[in-house]
Amino acid sequence: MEPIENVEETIRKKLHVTPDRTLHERVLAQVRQAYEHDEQTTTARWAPAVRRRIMKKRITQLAAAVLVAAALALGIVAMRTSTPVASAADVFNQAANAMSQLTSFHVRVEMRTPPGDNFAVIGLAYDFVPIDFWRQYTDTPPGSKWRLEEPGRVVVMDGQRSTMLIKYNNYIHQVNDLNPERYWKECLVELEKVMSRESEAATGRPRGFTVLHERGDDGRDKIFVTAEAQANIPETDYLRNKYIHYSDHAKVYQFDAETKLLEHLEIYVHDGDRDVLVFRLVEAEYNVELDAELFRLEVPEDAIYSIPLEVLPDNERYEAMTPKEAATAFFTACAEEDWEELLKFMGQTRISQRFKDYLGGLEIVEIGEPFQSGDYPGWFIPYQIRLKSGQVKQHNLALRKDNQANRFELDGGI
Amino acid sequence: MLEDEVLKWKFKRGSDEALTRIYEKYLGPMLTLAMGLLNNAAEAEDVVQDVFVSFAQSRRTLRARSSLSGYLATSVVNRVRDHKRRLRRRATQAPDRVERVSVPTRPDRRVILDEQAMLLNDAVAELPDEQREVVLLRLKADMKFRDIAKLQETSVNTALSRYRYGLEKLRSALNGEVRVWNR
Repeated sequence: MEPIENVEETIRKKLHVTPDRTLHERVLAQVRQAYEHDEQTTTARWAPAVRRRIMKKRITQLAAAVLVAAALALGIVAMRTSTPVASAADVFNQAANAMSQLTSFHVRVEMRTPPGDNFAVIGLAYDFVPIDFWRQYTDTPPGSKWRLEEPGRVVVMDGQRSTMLIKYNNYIHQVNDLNPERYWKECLVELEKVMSRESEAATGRPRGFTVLHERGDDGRDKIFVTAEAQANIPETDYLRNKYIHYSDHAKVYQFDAETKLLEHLEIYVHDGDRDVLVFRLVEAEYNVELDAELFRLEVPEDAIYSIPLEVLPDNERYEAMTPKEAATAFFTACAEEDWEELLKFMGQTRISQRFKDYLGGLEIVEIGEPFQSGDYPGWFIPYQIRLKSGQVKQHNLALRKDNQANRFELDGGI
Repeated sequence: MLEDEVLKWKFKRGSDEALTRIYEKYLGPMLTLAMGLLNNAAEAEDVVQDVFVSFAQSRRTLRARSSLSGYLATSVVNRVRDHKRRLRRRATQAPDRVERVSVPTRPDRRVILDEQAMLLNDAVAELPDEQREVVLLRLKADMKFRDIAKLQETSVNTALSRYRYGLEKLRSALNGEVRVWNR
């Protein structure tokens, strides 16, 4: 007979009472009925009081209606609390000030994203992937160095330029743009700017924000700010829910009330009748000593470099292509293993062997009608191909033309 | 905790979807708590129903600083106490009737406990009321000792002592009884 070693864990994990379906539904029906009844009676209780006080003058009726709507939207409870709280805009402003004083920081987040894709891409069904960002502020221009890393890619800005390495094919992309938001605008690489933007949004759209104060588990006071945002594209749009800003979502920030520094952030995407947690800040360290090695990136010897597309002698032929023709030409080059032709659609020094093995000899099953989505400047072209392995792949090829050669270039979708 | 913040905030904004989510998330835990405190399935069901019905009407009065779990658990405890007070009053007035009501009933078909949970629930039911409350509020509602002490109108040290005594009794009771499922 074996004794129970840990009574606490046993009670926590084993003592569960589960309601059966009948009980669940019966109580839920009662709960909903009570809620609806309360909503009806409370509305009736509040409305006359407002009318008596405000609507004596006809000219104020419109203003009163707006006030009532605003009060309901903001939550009447907040108006009943005796403790005055800072507005969301104030909280974000204070946070921005606090973060402008930082000498360094490191954040680790977990996000539902493919481990090697663009940092900003999300997918509600993806697993969480860790993403780290380190930033060291310096007294000399350009003012900071940083490193952004997920399992499949890393970007390092060493004070001179930013270099991105896509790990699976040793692809290197170097630019003089030193701003980390180039790679991941919505998240936490420019803390001060993120807070300032939220402050502006809260000023212009206060109904979308709520401020709560609570005592944290560490005994310190916390400020929670919730921010609701709407997607700026239609529900049926292809890019919907593929980026945070293309989703209806709620952000929940947690700040230390004293230092005003961000401690946690969670982002929920509203998808139909469910809220999906897609992003969570799991670690935030401020003013910590960062190893100088973080801001150096060793480029692999066999790296493939990105280069601008050059104007070809027969460039006009490519310039004249429609998105569908360009996609067809792209896959035809793969099918015929004509890598020189393929490079005309890819701004890079050479094609990796891995890429050749994957797409070489493919068979085009179908190229669909191109479409555009969100504010993406290029086109998406639906395709179906059969790979040499026999696997049939169906996806949307992303091609864009905003380059110096003015012809379509691969931008994703493989 | 942040998930609860979102749910609470949406509920306060009038989202019946958030209310349903809160209900679905906490019905089981609150039923577990009520069963642990009462060891009577029918009474636990009634208490939990009352708690959620009351919660559904609390949108405008729910304090922003309340934790959902703590709020609901406190409501369960208060209703259980009220229920027990009523039983004691009835016992004074008509002892024969109360005798019938207060006998713990085994869970009926509406609540489901497996064998392990039944043994644990029975062991918890043997604890004195104060110890039972502390143990369940701490382990099943994740309440802080500070908040439990406040609910019991006692000091944090007393709440901690009750917790320790309760665990000792449980350890002793369970190690004499729970064998098969712990192998």
